[in-house]
Amino acid sequence: MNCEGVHQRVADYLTGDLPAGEALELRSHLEICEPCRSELGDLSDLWLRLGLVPDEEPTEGLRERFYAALAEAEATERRGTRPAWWLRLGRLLGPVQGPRWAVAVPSLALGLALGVAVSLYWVGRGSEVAEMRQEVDSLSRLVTLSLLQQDSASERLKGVSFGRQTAPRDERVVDALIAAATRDPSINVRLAAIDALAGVRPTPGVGAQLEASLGDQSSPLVQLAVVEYLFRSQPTRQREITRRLLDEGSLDEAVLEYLASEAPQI
Amino acid sequence: MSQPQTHSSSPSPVRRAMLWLAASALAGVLAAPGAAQTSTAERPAQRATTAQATANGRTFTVPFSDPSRPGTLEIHQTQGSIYVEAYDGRDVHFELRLQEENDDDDDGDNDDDRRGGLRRFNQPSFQTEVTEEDNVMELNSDSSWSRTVSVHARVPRRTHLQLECVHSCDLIVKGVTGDHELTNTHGSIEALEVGGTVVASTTHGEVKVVFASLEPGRPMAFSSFHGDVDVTFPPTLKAEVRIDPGNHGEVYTAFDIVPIERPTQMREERKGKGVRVVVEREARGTINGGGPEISFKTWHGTIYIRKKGI
Repeated sequence: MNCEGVHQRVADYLTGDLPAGEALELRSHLEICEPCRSELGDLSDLWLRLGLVPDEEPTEGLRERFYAALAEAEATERRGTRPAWWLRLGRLLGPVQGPRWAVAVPSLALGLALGVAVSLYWVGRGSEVAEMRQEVDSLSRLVTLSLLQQDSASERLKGVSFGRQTAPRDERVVDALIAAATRDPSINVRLAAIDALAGVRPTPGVGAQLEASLGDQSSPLVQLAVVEYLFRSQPTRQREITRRLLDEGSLDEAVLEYLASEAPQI
Repeated sequence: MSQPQTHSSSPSPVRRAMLWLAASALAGVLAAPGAAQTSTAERPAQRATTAQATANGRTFTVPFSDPSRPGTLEIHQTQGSIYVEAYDGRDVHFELRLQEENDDDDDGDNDDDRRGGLRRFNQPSFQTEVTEEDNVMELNSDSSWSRTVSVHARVPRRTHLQLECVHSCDLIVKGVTGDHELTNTHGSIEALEVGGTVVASTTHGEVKVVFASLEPGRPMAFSSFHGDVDVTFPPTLKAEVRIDPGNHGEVYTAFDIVPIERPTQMREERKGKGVRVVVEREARGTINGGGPEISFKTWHGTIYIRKKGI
């Protein structure tokens, strides 16, 4: 048993509710752990002082007040039920407007009241739903950013998967995916991040950052993925992009071949 | 120390609740320093390692700080192959072998005259450094073009591997279970009868992985720019697969892959008189109902998704 186990069990130990085996483990730990011994000492003192506090006793008038309230309730029940409030309201109006108004007016009032209540409820629900969505998005962002920082490439791939879902609504996730696409130690995580960015509404900023990273991308697979992203996100500017990339000095030969093969169609 | 006397046979709920509150408050205050003290107190002492020279290399053993949990072995080689295999032990046994020596006579002198009458002293000389901290072990050797050193390591059966080599090297793993990241540039990757997860990538070479077991729910990815991607899974695999065979490749599978229904990904561009429609290349589907994402990618090569036993 470690210190955390002692902290979880010390209250049961003091109240005598800890099973014998666990009590023995706890005592064995106390023999070698001074901080836990000190904590037990403080709690034991508290336990003894709590035991000295007298139990609460009922006041003298409590019994009499209880039975009086019970009698009144029984008497009310014997006198019979009073008419409902809306019928009493109707009777108030009845002598002036006629008996039918005795039902119509309160019904109309009730209907109006219900309509207002339902409207307020759904407006409240709508804002509740919006708040819940914000909470969920915030949580998804936290999970994504946390996973993208993990040592394990598999966990970072999981972070990209999460990011794929929230990136369309969250600029910080987009930034994290760009960082993964341009600087992650794993080629496969970079490829997954570029693919995830393809699902986000393209902005010039994303394309520009990916293009700027081409000089640092040693993997031809990643270079090709960036080129395909640029073509996909800016279809009307392919000619300009191709010309610019062909002048880029650091692209792999296979990527240059691909660009050259795409050029005639543009 | 005997169990303390209770105040009564059934202490009041209020009293019990106040005790729990006090115990919880004290636990929160004591948790951080207590945990630090515990982890410090429980860390075992480092054991000394021994190194021995062999005919064309050297061997040595390095222990993990905490053999009770899987350690991580990182090897980064600019040149020289890496072989890692599992064994039933707790330490890592290294054997570094001089793979080849190239005559690197770039100083312009005619060394043949100077060597006349002398014989070569074949004791290999290369520096190796292994660091281990908190169960993460990292090996660096000064393997180079003129002195290529291959690394052979025997590791505990459950060990996480982060292995990377760049030039003229093969990367081979056998029988190790863990969270593996295998990266090569000019050479192949072969991971046989491994367990856990693998994320593998090479530029020029084949990626071949045979799984003995999988860790469920974990994404994986396999890629090669110029080479086949050949992965064998247990028949119980459940995954969502993304397959991109590039412009030149084909895909073969022993699993039934159910295509994921989605709108055909097309890119339509209207340029002047005509239109150009491009259908996206990547295929997506599910195996055995779906699961974590597994990606297969190559540009020049074939993708094989095999089922163990078939």
